[in-house]
Amino acid sequence: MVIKKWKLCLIAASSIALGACSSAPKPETEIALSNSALENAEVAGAQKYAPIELRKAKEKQGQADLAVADEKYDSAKHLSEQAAVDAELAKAKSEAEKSRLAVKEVEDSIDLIRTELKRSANQ
Amino acid sequence: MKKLVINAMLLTSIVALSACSGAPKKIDSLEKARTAYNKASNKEIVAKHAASELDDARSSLSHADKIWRNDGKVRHINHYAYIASQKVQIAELIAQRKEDDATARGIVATLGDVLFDSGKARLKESSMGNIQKVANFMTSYPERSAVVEGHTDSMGDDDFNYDLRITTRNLGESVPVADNNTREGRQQNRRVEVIFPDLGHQISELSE
Repeated sequence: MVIKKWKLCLIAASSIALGACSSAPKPETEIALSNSALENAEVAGAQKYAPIELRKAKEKQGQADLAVADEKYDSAKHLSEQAAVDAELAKAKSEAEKSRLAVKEVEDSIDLIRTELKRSANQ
Repeated sequence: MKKLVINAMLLTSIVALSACSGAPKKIDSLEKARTAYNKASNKEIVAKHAASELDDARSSLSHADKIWRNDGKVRHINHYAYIASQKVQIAELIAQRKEDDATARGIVATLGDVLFDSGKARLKESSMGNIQKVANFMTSYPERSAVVEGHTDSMGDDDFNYDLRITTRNLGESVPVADNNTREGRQQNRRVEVIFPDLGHQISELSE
């Protein structure tokens, strides 16, 4: 009788655990968010300025898609959340890099102008 | 005596063991995220330019921390710690970008007298390289406007070409930077300044 109770408990516990697994919803929102984050990163020029981060994001997005196909929604949610944040990082890195280059370009041209001014003053 | 030493050792290990079981074992990813967050939050430019991004990072970090304190799954702690670390980096990059943008806006490129001969408004051939650089900058950043200010010495007056995107201001001899009584001073006063104003303040700046 005692053993039977114990078995019942086990069955109940495992069915709860299984239920929890299958009840995890398909992470539609997370997938949509990572898709748009990837798009934004590409628009910002991540292909050129942050290729490693962009590739990482795309790989995770691909893995998330596979997890969805396998109905592993819990893992798919995590993967697409990571893909989104990787893509956001790729975008931020691209924009930072473009701004850095812009400042450098202007500073370089000013330096050049200064040099020319000095040269003309010495003539 | 020997027994006492052994007893003391036993006691120490019991204390050590109980200390371990008191708090969950430290997790690398979480400690790294925490360190990165603390470092970023101490940076002045991050607090100034990326406060909300830093807040995002903190809430992911708190989430990871909460799971850790409740002895949750390492997989979940690693996940939120990763998100937090990435968000810290995002905050730092955004802060750096905003700082650089502010620097670029503040840059006033003074294209000096080498551009012009006295009494002429036509650019010298030799100055085209520099003008081209400014033009390249503007082509790359079409959202950024420029104010081109043309100044003359007190002997003359001048004009500058303009485009839809470029506003020109003819300031004539009203804003000298050097003495107009000497040849050198007049040379310095004949100049063109290219200003990349803050987009938000552009209108007030132009309506002066």
